[in-house]
Amino acid sequence: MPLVEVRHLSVDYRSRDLPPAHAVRDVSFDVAEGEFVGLLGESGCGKSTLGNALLRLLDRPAHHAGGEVRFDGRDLYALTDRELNRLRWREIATVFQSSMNALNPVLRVERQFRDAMEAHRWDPRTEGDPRERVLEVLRDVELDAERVLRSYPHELSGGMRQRVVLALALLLRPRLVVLDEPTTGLDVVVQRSIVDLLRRLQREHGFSVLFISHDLGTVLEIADRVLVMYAGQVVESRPSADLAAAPLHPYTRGLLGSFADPRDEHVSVTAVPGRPPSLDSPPAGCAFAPRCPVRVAACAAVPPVLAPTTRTGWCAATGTPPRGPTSRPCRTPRRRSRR
Amino acid sequence: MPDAAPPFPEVMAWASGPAGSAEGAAAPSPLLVADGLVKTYTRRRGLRREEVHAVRGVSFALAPGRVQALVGQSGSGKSTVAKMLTGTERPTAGTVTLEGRDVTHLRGAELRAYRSQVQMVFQDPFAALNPTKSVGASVGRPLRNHLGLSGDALRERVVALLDGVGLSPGSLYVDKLPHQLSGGQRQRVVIARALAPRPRLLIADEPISMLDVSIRAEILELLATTVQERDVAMLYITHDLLSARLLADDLMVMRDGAVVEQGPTVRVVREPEHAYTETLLAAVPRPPGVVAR
Repeated sequence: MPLVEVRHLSVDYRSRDLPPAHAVRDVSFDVAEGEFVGLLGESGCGKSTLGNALLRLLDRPAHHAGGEVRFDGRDLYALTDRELNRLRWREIATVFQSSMNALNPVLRVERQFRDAMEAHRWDPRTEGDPRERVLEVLRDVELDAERVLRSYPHELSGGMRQRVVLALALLLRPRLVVLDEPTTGLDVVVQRSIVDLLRRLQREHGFSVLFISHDLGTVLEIADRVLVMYAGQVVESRPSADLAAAPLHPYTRGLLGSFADPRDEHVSVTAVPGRPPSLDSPPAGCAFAPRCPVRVAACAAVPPVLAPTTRTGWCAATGTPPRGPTSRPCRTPRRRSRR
Repeated sequence: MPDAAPPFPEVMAWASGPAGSAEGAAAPSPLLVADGLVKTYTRRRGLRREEVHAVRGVSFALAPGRVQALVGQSGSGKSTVAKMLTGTERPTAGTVTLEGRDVTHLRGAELRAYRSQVQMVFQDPFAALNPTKSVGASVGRPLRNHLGLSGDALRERVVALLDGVGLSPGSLYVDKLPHQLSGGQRQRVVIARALAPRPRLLIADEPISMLDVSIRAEILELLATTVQERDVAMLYITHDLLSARLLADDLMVMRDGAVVEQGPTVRVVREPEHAYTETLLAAVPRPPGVVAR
């Protein structure tokens, strides 16, 4: 049984004077025990909302509009608050977007670790000395534990704060860690070290990860499997290597086209002209159709069909299930519209 | 991608090889020369005074129609260099000359005239535009201030500028407010505003890092066409080596306030001579499979 099963999950943003925005629309996926899943999407596609829905952390104006999230077989949306509190941080931990700036500025780091342990009832008799555990987890994230514990957050660099936040998430040995843009806002070289660290820790400790990011290169490099999200829907879900080698959904192809290695002899990138549809009235058919260079007439009317394409992956394609990356002839559009 | 033809419009390909730069051809005479720029900030820590060497002797030349990339980690002094070029920070030592004229210590009206020649494109298109002002007002402001335009002539120029940055027809965008536009459209407005006073030099400080990846290429392409068609010089500040490779003819790498490596982009990226350049290159994500595309 997978650790996390998301089934037909939908989230709406409702406000008094605006039509509801369907931020997450009928999303289903699994996260296996020990699996590193990347959730890739652009701004406004609903990836952070999906992450929050997975943690049952939706707050007004966001509303759970349908579907289930099962963690280890338990439906999160059927639990009482008390049951949920026992699950949170102990079994499901999270690193929020820019949470390195969310450390309490007037408390030393040590106190913030102690708070987390007290709030989640660390039991020294069965779980050991709390200070030992804090030192262990800080060493795990490659920090000078003694020094960091004595510090206030402002005395640490951005990269160090991000490591502290990661250590806080791993403190109670959770089974699932949801990370929302954990490297955004950090310097490139620091980003690289955090990504390498995260992957090493995940391999060593075997927790599951949902890594939410807009950074295609990083997600493909670090994740076992990638979910590509567009306009509130998961449009492709496949092992990273397969997705990189042969993207199936036209949107994924577009994203891959925007990436290249600057060291290659010939470097070129492609653009995806246009912008995503408004989420208060998503198109009846494929949400990507208006921007899709290979769309057919039916795409505007027929919603995408999730179809099995490989034994391990799923792909939504326009209208009909694709037979492979070359199943549909690609008409090359004009090379450049301006110029 | 195994397909013979990519389904998405390919952009920026011309800048990809050595042929894309004007190497070998007679280098155009420089527009702006920065010579030995130094910026030292002093801060007080209790009774002690401490000096922070933000920039320690940086020299380069910017030529019309060419893009010079300035790459480095945060805190390396990239933005301080930009501020010294625009006259918002005064160098502790060194000079900036525009076509042979020393512009390091300009004041008042002269500084204002100089600034119409040197325009900036900022990182955050959400913060760079006044949310209460229409697109037309934002783009029109420098036309009023620097060129003294008003009325129909002003509106006409604004529409032409918007058309020129791919917001066409411009008349459709003039009265829009920033929140009605996407991030990419906003950055186009910022570029149109920078081009309004007909500058000779554009300083673009991370102009695409806040944008979605799928539209970054379009904005890069717009910057490249702008440089070529308007024959302006550009200083492109970034930490992203891919965009530097695509856009810039020359590249310099800064670390702790000093330039550690400088040269044609293709050479620096493909055959880096300095260990720090290699560190930056090693930080670029390298997903298996995609690279061999």
